[in-house]
Amino acid sequence: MAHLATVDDAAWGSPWRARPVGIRVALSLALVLTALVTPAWPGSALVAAVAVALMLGSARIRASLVALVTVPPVVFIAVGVLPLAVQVGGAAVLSWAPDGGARALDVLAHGVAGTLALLLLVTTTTMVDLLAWCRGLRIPAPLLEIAELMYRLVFVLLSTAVALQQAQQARLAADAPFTRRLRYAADATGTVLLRTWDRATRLQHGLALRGYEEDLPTLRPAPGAAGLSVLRDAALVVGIWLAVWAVA
Amino acid sequence: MLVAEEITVAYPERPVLAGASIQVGRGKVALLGANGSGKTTLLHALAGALELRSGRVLLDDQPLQRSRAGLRAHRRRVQLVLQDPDDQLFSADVRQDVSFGPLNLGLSETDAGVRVDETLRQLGIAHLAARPTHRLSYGERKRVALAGAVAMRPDYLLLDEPTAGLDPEGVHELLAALDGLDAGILLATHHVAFALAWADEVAVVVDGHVRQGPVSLLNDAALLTAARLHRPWPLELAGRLGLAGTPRHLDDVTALLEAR
Repeated sequence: MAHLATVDDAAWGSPWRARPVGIRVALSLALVLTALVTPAWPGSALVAAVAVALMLGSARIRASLVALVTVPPVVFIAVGVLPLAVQVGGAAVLSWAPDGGARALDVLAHGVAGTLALLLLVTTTTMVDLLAWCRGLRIPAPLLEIAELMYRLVFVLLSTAVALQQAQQARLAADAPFTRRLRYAADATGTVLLRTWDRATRLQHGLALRGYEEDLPTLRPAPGAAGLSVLRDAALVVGIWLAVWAVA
Repeated sequence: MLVAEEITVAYPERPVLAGASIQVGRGKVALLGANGSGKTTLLHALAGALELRSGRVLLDDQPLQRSRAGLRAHRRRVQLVLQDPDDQLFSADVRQDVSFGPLNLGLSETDAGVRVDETLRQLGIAHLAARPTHRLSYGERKRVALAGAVAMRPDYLLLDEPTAGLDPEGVHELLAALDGLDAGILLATHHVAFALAWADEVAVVVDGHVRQGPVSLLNDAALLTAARLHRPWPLELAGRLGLAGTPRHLDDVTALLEAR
């Protein structure tokens, strides 16, 4: 959960915030599609390299943060592709499948590249910008308002969870036996869930006092300027496709 | 004039207000009382957020109508800022959040933007405009919540413990911001010395009722004891030195001493 705040901070501070959200979404989607459709070599590899280079380069996302947000989904994908590498039956109950390793690596490459392409959008786009962009696409306002409220509440609850954890640590929870630590964690989770309800109710009341009736109108952020970035992004994607075509 | 007339409010577990009355004009009124005395309940009642068991709330002699249109009309003129800013801030960044009220008033996006920028400047938080709400300090969030109410240009501003959790500099900045507002202010607090220094009038909630009057009311030892409050230190000091009057600050006590 704490990673969420870090990712969000990075997005708020990224120079890419000045670029139109639509351009960022288009680039990310184009890279995801390229990662999925083209062969793992060189397509997915190039997508992954471009995504990482853009995050670390012009988007100025810290390498440690890129690693932090990349590792969990990559582990998830790696665990997911393991069954492709093995087979049940034969000499042993479980053995390596013929070509299983290659297939697993292929899927892993596609998955990792697609994930990195998506993380390019995640680490450079704040929720406020994304929601404003969605509003322009005529997505029903109630859906976006729910998303906005959830976004706000997530951070309120995050601070509650951190405070609870710190309070437990201050009272030497870390020194407790494992089973008791588990119980503390369960208690804290229960408390946070109850606070969720309480917080939501209080926020609804507070918004009613501010005149909330049916919708939550707010000013939209000023749209960014596209400039030459569209051409550069298009050139990157076309370049990957050309490389794939050349290798093929 | 915003008036509560003989209002009674009871929660299932206990009665809170029992025939309480208060009047808020264009000046500054401090609402005093111990924790749980009913200050917040009274503010909610004045804001139209509570069903009353009896009594009524009047705005310029017109009773508050609890219909949707009635509440909307009331909230255009009476704004309540809650003690916990997280109960009122919902948007991802400050400028968007403060724009919520003005847009609800029917202002265009351009006019609402101008209003928001004016309000943020007025409250000395223009530098926070583009900041994400969840990255603000507690004091900053309190001022942003206040800005959300002030941006609606209400005639009456009800503030629930606005100084709670603020450091002395934060309190000073908040008071400076409040002084520049063209609205009647009812401010709930349990800091009697602060109320003495800031308010034109005080209202003390005790046993479900309200005693309202000039700040000299804080000389009434029996009232303060019943309300579980302490006499503010300037009055205590003046009393021990045998000085007559109602000094509000240290300078006032010094002036009284020099005059003697």
